[in-house]
Amino acid sequence: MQSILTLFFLMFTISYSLKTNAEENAGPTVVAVGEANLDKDKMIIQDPYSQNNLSEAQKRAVLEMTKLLRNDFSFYQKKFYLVEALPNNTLVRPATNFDYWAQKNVHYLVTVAAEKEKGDQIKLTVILDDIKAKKQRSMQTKMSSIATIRKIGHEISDAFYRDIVGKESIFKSKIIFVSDRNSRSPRVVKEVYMMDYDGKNVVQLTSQGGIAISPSMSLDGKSLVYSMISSGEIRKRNHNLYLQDIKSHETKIISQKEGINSGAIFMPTGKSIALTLTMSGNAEIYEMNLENKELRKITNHFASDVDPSVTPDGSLMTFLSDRAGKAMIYTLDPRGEEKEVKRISYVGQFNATPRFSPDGKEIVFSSWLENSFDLFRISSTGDNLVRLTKNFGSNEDPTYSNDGEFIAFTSQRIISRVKAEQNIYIMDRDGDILGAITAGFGNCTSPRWYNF
Amino acid sequence: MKKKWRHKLTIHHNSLLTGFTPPFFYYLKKSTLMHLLVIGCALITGKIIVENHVNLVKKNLQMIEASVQVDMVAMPKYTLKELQNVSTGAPASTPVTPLAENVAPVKEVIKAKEIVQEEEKKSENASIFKVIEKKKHGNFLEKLKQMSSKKVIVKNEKNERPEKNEDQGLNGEKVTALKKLILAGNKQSSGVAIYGSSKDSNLTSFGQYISHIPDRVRPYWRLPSFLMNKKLKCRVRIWLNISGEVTRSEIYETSGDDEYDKRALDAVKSASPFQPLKEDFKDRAMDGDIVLGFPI
Repeated sequence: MQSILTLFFLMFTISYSLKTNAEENAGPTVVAVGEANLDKDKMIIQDPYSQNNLSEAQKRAVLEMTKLLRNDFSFYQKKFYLVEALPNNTLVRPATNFDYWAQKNVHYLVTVAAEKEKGDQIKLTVILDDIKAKKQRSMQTKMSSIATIRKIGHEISDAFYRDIVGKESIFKSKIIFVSDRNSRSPRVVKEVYMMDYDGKNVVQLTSQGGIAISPSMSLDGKSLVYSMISSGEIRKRNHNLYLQDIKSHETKIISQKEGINSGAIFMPTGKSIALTLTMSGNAEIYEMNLENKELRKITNHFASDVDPSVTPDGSLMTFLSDRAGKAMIYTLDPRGEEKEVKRISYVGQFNATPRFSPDGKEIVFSSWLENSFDLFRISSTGDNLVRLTKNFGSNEDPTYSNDGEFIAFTSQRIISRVKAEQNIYIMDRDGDILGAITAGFGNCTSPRWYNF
Repeated sequence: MKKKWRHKLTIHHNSLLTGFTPPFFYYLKKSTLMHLLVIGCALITGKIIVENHVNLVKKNLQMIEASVQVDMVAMPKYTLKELQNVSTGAPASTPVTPLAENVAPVKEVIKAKEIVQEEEKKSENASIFKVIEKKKHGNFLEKLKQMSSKKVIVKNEKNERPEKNEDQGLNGEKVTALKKLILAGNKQSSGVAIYGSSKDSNLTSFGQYISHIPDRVRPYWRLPSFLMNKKLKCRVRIWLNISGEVTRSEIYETSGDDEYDKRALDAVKSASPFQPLKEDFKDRAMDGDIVLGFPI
């Protein structure tokens, strides 16, 4: 009995020691603070220091370029806030007084100096000072004429942005869109145009005199594909697909199968396109080789499948389908036929125009709610559905910016009892609307955002 | 000891020689005691193993901010901006101090923004955009065509009652506490998980205490854009005194970026003091048992 009790006491002592040891090795308690808030950088872009040997027109152009720099950085309102300084009183840029600006809590100071060069050229020296680091961070020296000064200004903005943030900006990007400004009642004419991301520098790309829809450009910016409704009896009108060389303006029909040849997008390789065809009696999405015009089915379902959008690496495609009985958003692997089809949206009366973000992780789309379309965002795996627009007219046709931080879209606003106008607006990816980039240019629709 | 064993052996030997068998209950008693001993050892060993496992799990899961998945059953009624603006009690952002002297606030906002704001005001009282064609039961492409060929219709304003502001209730009052509650219920956010057991009340109390710390620190946790995109993380260990003040803080796990680590330390110092410590867990907080994850 004594030996049994001794053994029991020994076991108890060992177990208690182990328990105490386990408690001591549990370690400290970790608690998550969560994601940080963005600290906006205060930035001043001073009025330019222009030499007297510049003409008045050149001085005005340099001032406009300075305003363009301010406008560019003001788009990134979550990262920067621009403060205006009084015009300077000297012709020559003085040395930066870092202590003075540091007292004002300025983080970045941009100064522009311009002097006349040979002919009509202007030599621009633009300096970015890091006030907190008390040193010059970057300098851009460019030669420009009055005609090219906007383009140079965007390049300078982009270079400074990359230097500060470490990634590409939207400043050099372009947006193509469709406008009916050439319409003369009752004849409707829609052509494709291109503009800078801020709505300036609009250039007409097509001159068919017809109704162009669903434009899309290749990633190298050399080719444009769009559909156009053929003329003739309404019942017999076909949606033909056109391919245009941007440089030479040479245009040719690449698909005129019976019915719809529309919604074309370039695949990442640039050698083929994905498009919707109804030649089989049902809308399906095909891949077409641009060289030999060979078709390969991507979808093959008795329901209608339309409106493809593909990720930059070509591994995932999103499209619209009513295979569930209502227009819903799906994804699949476009490298096969009906490969890994997955339903993404489960709610909404009518969902439309799904578009991938540049990283392929999000899809923005429009959905019909009661009286109008609004824009929503969902992850490419089908979760985290959020609403982006509300009480802002009817909003459709979204497209992400090249950096994924902005979305351009078409918004329809009421002008009068019998007229509504469509313009292209920009918002950030969380739904904060910056404003319209088109105005007084007819009804502007179908924006597509590129950075060539 | 040897004598005892010899005595027992002798009894057994004698029983074999003499044919005398010890009573049944003698062996039953010994057997029962041995079985109880074995069972007791097994229970103690099992308890130790389980407790070690539970402690390990608790250590890994004691991040007092658990994610909560919200299943959508309808299209969201409120926009992301509306949900983000629901007051959580924490200050939204640090106020911007306007520059003095010769600097004025920027005026060069995008021009169209002013037009948008004016249009928004007009549309509040304007008629609603409406489709005049009824949706036909037809094929999908017909529906697409219908959706793209919408016509604008304006309601007869004479017959229309003025629309009530969405913010006004039945009595025309402004945003009520009920609406704020509804907004808060629609908000997608991380939840709060408190771990504890009925046996370990100290942990529950401690868990409740440390769950308030992130809300205090987060308003001061700010990063410039060039650090936001790098997806860094660091951890800061803190020591508190009985009043809840941070007496000491140090980097527990570095992010690899000095600026990032410095901003995390600054956020902790700015947020101090926290709530006063309670008796049942003050030792843990004073011994540096709290580690803050930036962000996790």
